[in-house]
Amino acid sequence: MGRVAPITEHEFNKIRDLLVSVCGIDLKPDQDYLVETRLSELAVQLGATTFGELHRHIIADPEVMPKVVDLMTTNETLWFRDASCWLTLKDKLLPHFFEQLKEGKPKIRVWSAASSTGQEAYSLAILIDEECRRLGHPEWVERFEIRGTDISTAAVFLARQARYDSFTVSRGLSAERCAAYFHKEENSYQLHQRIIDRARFEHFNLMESFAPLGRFDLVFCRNVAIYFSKSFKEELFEKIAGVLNSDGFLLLGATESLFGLKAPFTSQSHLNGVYYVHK
Amino acid sequence: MSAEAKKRVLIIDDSQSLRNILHEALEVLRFEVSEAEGAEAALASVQAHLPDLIILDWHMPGMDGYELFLKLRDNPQTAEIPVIMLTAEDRKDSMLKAIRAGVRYYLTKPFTHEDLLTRVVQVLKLDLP
Repeated sequence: MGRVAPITEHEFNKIRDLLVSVCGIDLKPDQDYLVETRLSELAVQLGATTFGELHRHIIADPEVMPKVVDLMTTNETLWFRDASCWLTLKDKLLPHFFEQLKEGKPKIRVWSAASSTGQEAYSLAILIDEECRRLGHPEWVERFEIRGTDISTAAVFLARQARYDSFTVSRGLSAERCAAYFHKEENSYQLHQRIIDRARFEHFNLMESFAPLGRFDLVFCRNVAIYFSKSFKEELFEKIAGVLNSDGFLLLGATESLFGLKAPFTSQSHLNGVYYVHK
Repeated sequence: MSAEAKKRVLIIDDSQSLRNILHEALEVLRFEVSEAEGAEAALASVQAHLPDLIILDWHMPGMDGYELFLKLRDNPQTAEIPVIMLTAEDRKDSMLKAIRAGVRYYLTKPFTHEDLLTRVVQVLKLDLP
């Protein structure tokens, strides 16, 4: 009593071709079971009874492809992921932004381009809070605007809750920071409202135009492009360059680089961390 | 989420430590979480209180998770309860068998809490405006 008919070789090839051409997700020929096990529920929700019908929905409705990408990729994030990145932020990039604020720049805008369940954006909000207090300017926190976006509406929902279990909260977060920025509610840890208020989360598909997002001083695009083809990566970084201010910064995951890609960025390093600026 | 709207989730797994981890993870969503260590306890629990969602392991002593799923699916009272299978059983044939039988999502251990919670949110449609 299958809710969707088992995927045929022809249907798999059509969906596989679509995934590689639109977003560069390159499935192996024997991964038909992945499509069937991960996308059956979506097919049912769309009223499709075969994967051929699901394919037609993906083509006809631009809202469907992001859901497919979300289901075919893995969500994993942690607090202050990649220590070197956060050290670079603290020692190099934030001091640059503080100088800009002193010189009268009204706002520093940051984008977490695949914010998942919120840890990256909230880690930054915590670091900014710590640094502003250390420098004796707690009022500066309000001049940072952090925007998190994700292809998954479920991840956005969870990020807005800002509530985590003890395992999740322990992944990358020190006991001191946990005590300073969370309060315990029954068995869960709720982030303080003043940190929640520093970040805004929305559903966004990286395949769309970035222009409506406005311009940014810092973009986190970490562990996002790893799933995608070379051409999709190049398009993605070109679009990021288009919304990054001329003196802005791009941060990638610790295991990522732009090596071998046509991308309008050049790398800089500080201590062990790497960041990217416009060429 | 108001107290009246609390969703009820049943975790069925023979490992106490995993039940504890899942229990805590699901409480983040302010669910009312209950546990069963096997099929028999699960059937009794479902009869007492129909859950909104079941998280089900495959390999358990006695009736396994797949058999239990079929039993729930074939009972009109429980047929509509969505089931997410969370199991170390990662053979392609088993995954397909479960999905074709009507399991909503199939997650293999080790799993990320982000993946589990996003699938739970999707099944229960908590992210709809």
